Amino acid sequence: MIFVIAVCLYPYLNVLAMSINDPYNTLLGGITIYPRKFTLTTFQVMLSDSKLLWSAFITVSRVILGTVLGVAVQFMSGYVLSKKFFGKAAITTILLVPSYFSAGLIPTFMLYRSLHLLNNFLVYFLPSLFIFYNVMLIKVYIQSSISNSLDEATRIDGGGDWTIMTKIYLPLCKPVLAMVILFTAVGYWNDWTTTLYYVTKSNLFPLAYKLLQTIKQNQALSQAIEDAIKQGQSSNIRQTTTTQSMICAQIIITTLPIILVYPFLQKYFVNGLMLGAVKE
Amino acid sequence: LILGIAAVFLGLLAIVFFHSAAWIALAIVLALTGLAVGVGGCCIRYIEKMKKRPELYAEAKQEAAKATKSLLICGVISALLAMGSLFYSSVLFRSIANKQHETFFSLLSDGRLYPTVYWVILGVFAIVSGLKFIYIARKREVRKSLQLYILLIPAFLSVIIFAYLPIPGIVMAFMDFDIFKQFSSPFIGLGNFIQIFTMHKFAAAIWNTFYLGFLTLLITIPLPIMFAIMLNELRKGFFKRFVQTVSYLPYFFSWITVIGLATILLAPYGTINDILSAFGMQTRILFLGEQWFFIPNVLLLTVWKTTGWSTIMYLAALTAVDTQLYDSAAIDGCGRLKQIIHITMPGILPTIMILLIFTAGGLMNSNFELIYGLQNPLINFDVISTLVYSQGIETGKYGISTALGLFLSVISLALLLITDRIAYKVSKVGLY
Repeated sequence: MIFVIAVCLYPYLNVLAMSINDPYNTLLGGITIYPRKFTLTTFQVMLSDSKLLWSAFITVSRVILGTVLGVAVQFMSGYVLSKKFFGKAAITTILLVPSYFSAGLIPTFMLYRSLHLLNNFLVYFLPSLFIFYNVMLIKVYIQSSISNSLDEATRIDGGGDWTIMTKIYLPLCKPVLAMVILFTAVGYWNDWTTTLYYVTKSNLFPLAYKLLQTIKQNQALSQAIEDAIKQGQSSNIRQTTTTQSMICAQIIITTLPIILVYPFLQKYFVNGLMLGAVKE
Repeated sequence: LILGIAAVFLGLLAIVFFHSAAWIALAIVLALTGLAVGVGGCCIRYIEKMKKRPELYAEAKQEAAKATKSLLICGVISALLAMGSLFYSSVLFRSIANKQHETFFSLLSDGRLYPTVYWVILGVFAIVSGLKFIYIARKREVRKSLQLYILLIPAFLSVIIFAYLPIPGIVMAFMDFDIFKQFSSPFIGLGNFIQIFTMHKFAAAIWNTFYLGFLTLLITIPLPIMFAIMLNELRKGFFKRFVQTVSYLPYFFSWITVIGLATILLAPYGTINDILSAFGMQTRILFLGEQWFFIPNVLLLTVWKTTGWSTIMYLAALTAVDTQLYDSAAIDGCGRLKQIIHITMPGILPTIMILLIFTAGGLMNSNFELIYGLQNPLINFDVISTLVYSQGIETGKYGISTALGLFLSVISLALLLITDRIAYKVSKVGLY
């Protein structure tokens, strides 16, 4: 068990230590889980980069917009699908099919192009508003834990579906909504493939994509540079920091919100998976 | 009825007049729509007649419902195609307009947009008449849940636009697609597919996808089970909770973060190499740049990220195992290990089976994020999804990568359906 903890935590602590260690000192190797020469230069360099701050802003606004709109759409559909109405089976099928068969990347790319969604901020959340799995979670939750008599009582008092949904069901669905919100938010925060496929404008890059770029750059050229520095020929590549430390610092920045939030919300995540299991 | 027959006739005319392959396929759908409309017309007449003889009303209603279904399906298909062709013609229209300053109306007067317009009218007609028919038959029910339908509109729109609209684009797989000619590129039949199966690069990617999927399956099933059993043996308390929290954590990292961690850890002067050299290894290994290490790396990172999280399901299954069984086994002199083999394992076997079957359904869905992220100039390893990306979006061979993507979609859909049926037979649990 201790081994498992070590395996899970060590890489992260290692990177954390490296990110707050002096970049040139790090190149000597041998950093484990504590910094040898404490400094915040790497973070200073990164945070003084206005592009990075901008992409943090992009990421945050995407997470907020996408989550709010997406969960609204999903909650509405989940509510509707938990009711009985004419044509339910047909509508469910229409909504379900795309989660098992997709046209593939290129036709989607072509569609986005003709809809002018390429290099558009909207592409970050608009296409993924409806997620069938989440809708099913909400539906199952409503059906299994909210009594139908509440619905009937409201109807007798003259409330329509909108009133029932917002005034009665919304507060009662808090647990499942918390879970859906968390998963959606984490998904948006971590996503970088959308950017890779559909976005080429650098002022729309989210943090995760920035990290990818740094890693790819590192793979391409760091080897040579690092060897040069090792052998003391570093005079011509004088920088304030190194790609390695940059990667470390970026990893820390991109994971920080998750690390901070996660321990408190873990129980929601786990509950969510169990809810999903009911459906499977 | 007359309208229906007319539509069929027009559909056939369309087949005769538009000789090229694309038009024929669409014209068949057209004819189908016509037929469906005809059926709808029949139904309406049927019901009208039955209204005069109320004793047969229920029966007629049933018959009509059946016909309506087929009408609706045809209508949906044709509307989809109509939308698709409209959208492609508009793309075509734009690309032409950019060059020759043609307007929509000049295209229309040329007759190039006639087929599209025709399909649109027919599709809309079929759907409207289908819906109207349903409305007539089920007036009260529809009216009662009108609010529900309205609430579904956003979801419906988003699914139709972003999931169904791209589907007609699959025709690209059968085209020698040219970005300038757009959807009027020449048809080459199965040419793209032949290329996929004969060119080494593509065949290798298909093989890699299978191979990697299989290996992943082989590793990601037993490890979480073992880990869950180990966790279950721990007494409840702070330590167990801590272990759980820590082991779930990697699941919430982005794949790119995981790759970043690996880049640092497996670097020539990273920790792993430090440990190896402490044990007397002379050379430092470039783990991420070595072809031989690529698959192990992929598997390792997958295990690191997902194992903890996958235990949750098994842990739930483990708590359901009757504790009395353990007690009686202990009285009979069973050790911990024997208890695990004879009680725990059979107890969670159903869960294992289900999860195994479902994971097998996703065999072909190789992890694009992980593989793309780990690729670098020193590595020559592609799976289908990375090839679709690099061939399609990076180099612009749209036709062939659509074909590749279509191949992947079809195979994974088939796998999913098969495994779902098996799961259903085994356990009476299905996807739907």
